[in-house]
Amino acid sequence: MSLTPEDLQALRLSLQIAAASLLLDLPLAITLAYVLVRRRFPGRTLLDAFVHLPLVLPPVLTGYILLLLFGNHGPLGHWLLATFGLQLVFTRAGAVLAVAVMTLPLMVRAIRIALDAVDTGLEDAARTLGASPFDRFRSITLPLMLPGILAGCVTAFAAGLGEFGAVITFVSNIPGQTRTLPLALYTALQSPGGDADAARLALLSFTLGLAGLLLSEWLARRLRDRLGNAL
Amino acid sequence: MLRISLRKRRGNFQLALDFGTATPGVTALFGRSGCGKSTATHLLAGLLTPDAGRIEIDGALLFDSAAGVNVPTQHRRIGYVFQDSRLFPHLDVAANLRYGLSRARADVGIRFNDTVALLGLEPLLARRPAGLSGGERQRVAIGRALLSQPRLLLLDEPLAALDGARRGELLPWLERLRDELALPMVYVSHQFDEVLRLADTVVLLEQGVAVDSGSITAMSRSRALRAIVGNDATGSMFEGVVETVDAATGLARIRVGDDALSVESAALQPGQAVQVQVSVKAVSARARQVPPPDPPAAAPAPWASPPRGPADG
Repeated sequence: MSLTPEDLQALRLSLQIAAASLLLDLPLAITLAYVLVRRRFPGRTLLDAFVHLPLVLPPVLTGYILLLLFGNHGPLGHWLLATFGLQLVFTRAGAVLAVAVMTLPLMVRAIRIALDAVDTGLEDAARTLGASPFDRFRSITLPLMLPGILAGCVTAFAAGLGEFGAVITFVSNIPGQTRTLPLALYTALQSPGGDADAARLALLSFTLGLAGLLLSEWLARRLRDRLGNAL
Repeated sequence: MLRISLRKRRGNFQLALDFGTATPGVTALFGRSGCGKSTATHLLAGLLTPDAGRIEIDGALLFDSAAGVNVPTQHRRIGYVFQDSRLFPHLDVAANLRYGLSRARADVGIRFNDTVALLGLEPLLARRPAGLSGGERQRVAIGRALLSQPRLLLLDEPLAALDGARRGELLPWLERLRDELALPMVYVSHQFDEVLRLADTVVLLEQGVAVDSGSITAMSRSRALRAIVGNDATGSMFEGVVETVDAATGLARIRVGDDALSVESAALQPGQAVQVQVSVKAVSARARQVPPPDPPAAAPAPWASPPRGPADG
């Protein structure tokens, strides 16, 4: 039972899309977590709810909303196409966006918890030692949040590999473009005589998920050691 | 000169603090818990903004509500030693010490190696804060604050989180700091024995108001102070001069007025001006029988404060 070129293509695509959406999400998730935890402004609750919406909406609906906004005739999609020549529907870039939107709340949640746990007294101490606001964030807050950020990344990446509903709705199921592992698995299950394909893809997904969990556990332990069990 | 005039309202609490003290020297902000000491230190460091007032340290204006001056905390150069150390847990001791040093906006000549030696930090440098004892943590925190090249060192109850034995260990380090550095210090405490050992000037805070202030000698007679600390913790303060030090016994003879006291202290040098504190508890009075026998030798008094420059007296 060896992997076919199509399997490998789906695997590569899944990894690429999950990784790209992670990079897209990371700065946004850290900013959102910071704003939600540390700032008090009107509309904060609304922003909070908005960020977490993809967690509670059916993924198909999230995909549909993306289609309405970022379709070639949607307000944002039209602008992107006209300004940068960037088409999102039916493309890899679109899949990255869909996965990013779906996994953003997972990252924001993990990073928020990490930021909540950072003692602001340490930031005050850094302040008295001459550190400017950005310097404090970079040298104190961010390193102390690192385990939480890492946990958020691993969760988001794993969830991104498996994202199905929003992807298939927004960018469809195009081999080599948007057919990630779960979509390939779905396709195999829908094809007559596709059982062997499905079994291979299922095993591949399973192995990938397990490897991800073990990796995150190992990373978390290393990081804890590096921080001297301070957290 | 340290000149402070601050007004701050927080809920029902009103802080009104006015005092000026000479620099360098140790000014103790003393009062019961809840008298506004923490608010005062936060205002001084700029972690809180006063409603009105003025802060001036040796000619540098840090806050003036009338002139619209409010130097941000990171530019104030006030080395703040927090009660709970607040060492950065992800950095080792050396990196903690260098945190302020590498961000210093001036150079008052406090060097890394000197500070490490002064506070005995050499064996701790490679360790993480999590593995340090409370006293060690506070020594690192003091070193970190010193190395930020401050114009003022602000010690906010640095011993309060330590148990009795640890407090006893850290106090001599603080005395050393006072004696070896010409750095103005504000020492906040609700323990009068610490104040007696360290301070040159005492500002007594009560319900947010500085009710009395003066030199430690003058304040030992303050009624307001006595009302708080009781007679037990107060005592008599004498100014004296070391006459002789007997190397064999470690006893120093200190001339106070027409009399002399023997004190157990090897660190004193002949000719030094010192302050002698005699705790109320350590003195007993007895009605004289006539004729008195030979006067008993003065008992060794271990509570003499360590040497100070003549200017301090």
